[in-house]
Amino acid sequence: MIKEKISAIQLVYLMAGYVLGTAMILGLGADTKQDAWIYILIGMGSSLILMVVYTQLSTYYSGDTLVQMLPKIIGRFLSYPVILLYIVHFTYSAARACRELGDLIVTTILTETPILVVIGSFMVLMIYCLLGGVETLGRMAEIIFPIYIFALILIWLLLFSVEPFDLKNLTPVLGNGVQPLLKKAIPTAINFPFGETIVIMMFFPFLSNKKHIRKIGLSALVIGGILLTINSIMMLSTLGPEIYSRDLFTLLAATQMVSVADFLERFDALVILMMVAGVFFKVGGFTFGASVAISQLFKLKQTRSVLISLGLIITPLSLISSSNYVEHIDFGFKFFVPYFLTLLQIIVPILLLFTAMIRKKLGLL
Amino acid sequence: MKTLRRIKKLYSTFQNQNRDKTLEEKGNDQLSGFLQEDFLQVKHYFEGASDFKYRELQINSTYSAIIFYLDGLVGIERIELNVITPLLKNNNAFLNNPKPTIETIIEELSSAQVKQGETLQEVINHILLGDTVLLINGYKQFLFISEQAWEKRSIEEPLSEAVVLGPREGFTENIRTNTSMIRRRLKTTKLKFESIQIGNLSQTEVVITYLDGIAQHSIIEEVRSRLNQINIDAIEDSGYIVELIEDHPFSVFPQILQTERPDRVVGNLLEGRIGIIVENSPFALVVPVTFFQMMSSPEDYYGKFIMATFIRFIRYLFLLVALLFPSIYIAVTTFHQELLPTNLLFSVAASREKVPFPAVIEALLMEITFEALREAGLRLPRPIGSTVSIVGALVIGQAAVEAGIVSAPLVIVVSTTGIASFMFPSYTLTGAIRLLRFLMIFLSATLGFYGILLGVFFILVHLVQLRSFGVPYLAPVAPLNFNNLKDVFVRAPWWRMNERPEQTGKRNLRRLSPRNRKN
Repeated sequence: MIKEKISAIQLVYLMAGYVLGTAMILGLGADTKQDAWIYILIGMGSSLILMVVYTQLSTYYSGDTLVQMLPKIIGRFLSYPVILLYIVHFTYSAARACRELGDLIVTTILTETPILVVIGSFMVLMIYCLLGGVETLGRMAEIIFPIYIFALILIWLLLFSVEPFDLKNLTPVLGNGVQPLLKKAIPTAINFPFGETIVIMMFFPFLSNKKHIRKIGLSALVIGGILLTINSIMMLSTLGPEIYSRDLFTLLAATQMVSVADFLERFDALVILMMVAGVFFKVGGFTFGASVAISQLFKLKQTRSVLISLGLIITPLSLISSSNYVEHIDFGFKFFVPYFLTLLQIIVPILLLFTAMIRKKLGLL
Repeated sequence: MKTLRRIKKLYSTFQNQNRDKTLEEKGNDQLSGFLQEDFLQVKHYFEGASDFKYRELQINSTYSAIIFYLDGLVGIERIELNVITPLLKNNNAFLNNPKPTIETIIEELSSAQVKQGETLQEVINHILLGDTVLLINGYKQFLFISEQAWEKRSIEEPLSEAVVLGPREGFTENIRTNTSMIRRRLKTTKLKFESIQIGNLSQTEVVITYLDGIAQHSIIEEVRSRLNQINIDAIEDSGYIVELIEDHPFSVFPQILQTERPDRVVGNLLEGRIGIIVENSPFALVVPVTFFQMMSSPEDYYGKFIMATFIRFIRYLFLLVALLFPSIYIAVTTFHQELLPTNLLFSVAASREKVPFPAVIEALLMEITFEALREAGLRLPRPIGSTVSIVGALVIGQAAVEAGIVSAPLVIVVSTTGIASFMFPSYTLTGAIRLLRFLMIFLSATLGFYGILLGVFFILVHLVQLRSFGVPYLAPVAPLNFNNLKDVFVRAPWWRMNERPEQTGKRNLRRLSPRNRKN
């Protein structure tokens, strides 16, 4: 069944873009104010350990996706509910990313367009891409990621020209002490966006060369984490901690302040480009993960019908899951990220790894 | 692929109904050896063909013989000189020997190409190909003399791919002239010309050409099998073949390069690609090709590399302009006025004040008129062609603006787009971009910048899925190959491009000695 291949560099690009995805636009660690960049670094650092767990599992069961290895580790009957939870996670996370895109577009550039049209047309694009298989997704990442990075660096350079740009906005560093920051960062910063790379386990079997999976996973996290850190430093310097913690779309807010020689101004289009590209990676990764999970769980021979039905589920799900954007963010950061994702992205994989190690010791692998 | 198969099936059923049963049944018959009988049979097939000519000869007043040919396909003076005269003059072979063998008769004829055959089918085929056929009473073999000579266009400068630097000759309709132009550039026995006939009625000669030892066997085999699958009544131009062997017939993007320039074909052969030359078509085909090849002109390789890189940069920039400029204009004037600097916004708004249409209608009107003008300019006889452009420029440019039907900025947008779309070195790619421009206009009119982005993403997804004879269309960008990026967006100097492209030339990568490398 698995014929299509993805190269190592494609997967790194895809996963780095996936980490950046919505996190880039939203302004991570808003309530930690000027220490947001440390918050991100903590998240990245701890998620590197998680990545080692994920890749170790994939090395034990090389050639298997997360869904295929679960029954082998904890048995068929116990694995069903866990797999279902993962499918819910992937589907709902895709819907959340869609919702964030839709809300950004509707509140900023297309104020009179129904959000359904925005999300619906995006899902049509996404499903068209995924119907081409993992190869298409990988190659899209290969083309879009460099453009994404180019746009990002361009925006950073332009931010230097903004009048209130001041690195002093970052002080006092750790003004509230280490303890509260750690409390906020763990587990939220680990789970979003870094821990979400658990979806990489659904991609490993499609790699053309499976030797360097750990390197791939770690480098994607490091690239994504460093870019996010620099970005949050730039945002904090431009906007100041107060606006940073209050504004919903910080990157957009900062970019709108750019004005070079009274002519080069309003680079909103670049931000919209980055948002669409980022969400493309994110929704692409999640939807692909969900479709592979469903077709492997139910032993389907093709993913075509799964993908089309996922598209039809994710679009309305993104709209009905919350009645407005504030509720969406609130639900996300109060329940979904700290509890649900902690269970699926931290606790379950670590337990799985222990079980797998014990099985290996006992020779039951 | 499914439709391709369906089309092929349709052709084959069509073919079976119309097959000429009589020739098929009798065709493999041997010649009888009795001149009158064979003559009547041949004449029967050419009944009603006024260009079919024959002449009876008496050799030494003992043997009667007949030559057949199609008038206009045969150099008749040379047949007279090399065939008829030696036979009619007192002939040594027949004088010394009452019944000479067919080989001795061949020796008597002073033409360069004389061969023999045996069946009636062959007689018919050779007459149709423009050979002169000689039947002699009492012989079961026949002779055919290849002295074809028909009117042909001389070699001219290629119209669709003009260059300033570089060779000026272009392919003609004559396949021999075309192969000779390639052979002149590659004087090696590794250059192969494989010939096959396609078309049940047209019997068009199609030549597959490649460099042995560089081109990959799998691709050559794929080309052969796709060409052999074609079962059609006639091939009028290489464009028929393009549509019949393309990987994705429903895509607007060209997956086969059509070129008039022998130097472009040779350049591609050297990179391990395969050329297909079709009789009666001045356009040769090159497979497999990538998108980026469509964007590079042969001139890029003849001038200085710095200049070529700059030109390529301009070309890619204007690719975006040709595709997106009208839709960006619509998006900005309809949805995102705030994106324009204030002064520019004022002048655009002022010029749009009188215009009664929304921007999208205005743009569509102008774009469609422009396409019409362009088409009219192509079809009109040359002396009137300039009139059209003057009238068009006046009507569209000045009068429409003064009448307040369209705004002046839009005229600038449309004309810039028009110029941009003439920049691409591949005519078929231009067509694809022109078509997609309209799609982008509709998307931007409904969803603004977001629509444009979605459209571009759609096009990219489509492009990464395309393949040309198994080679990804966007190689070497996706999948990425750093080494081959030397000849994509930039044109590296020749002394740095010492390897052929990986996708097609991996059998024999090195093309330049590393000693030639400077710095």
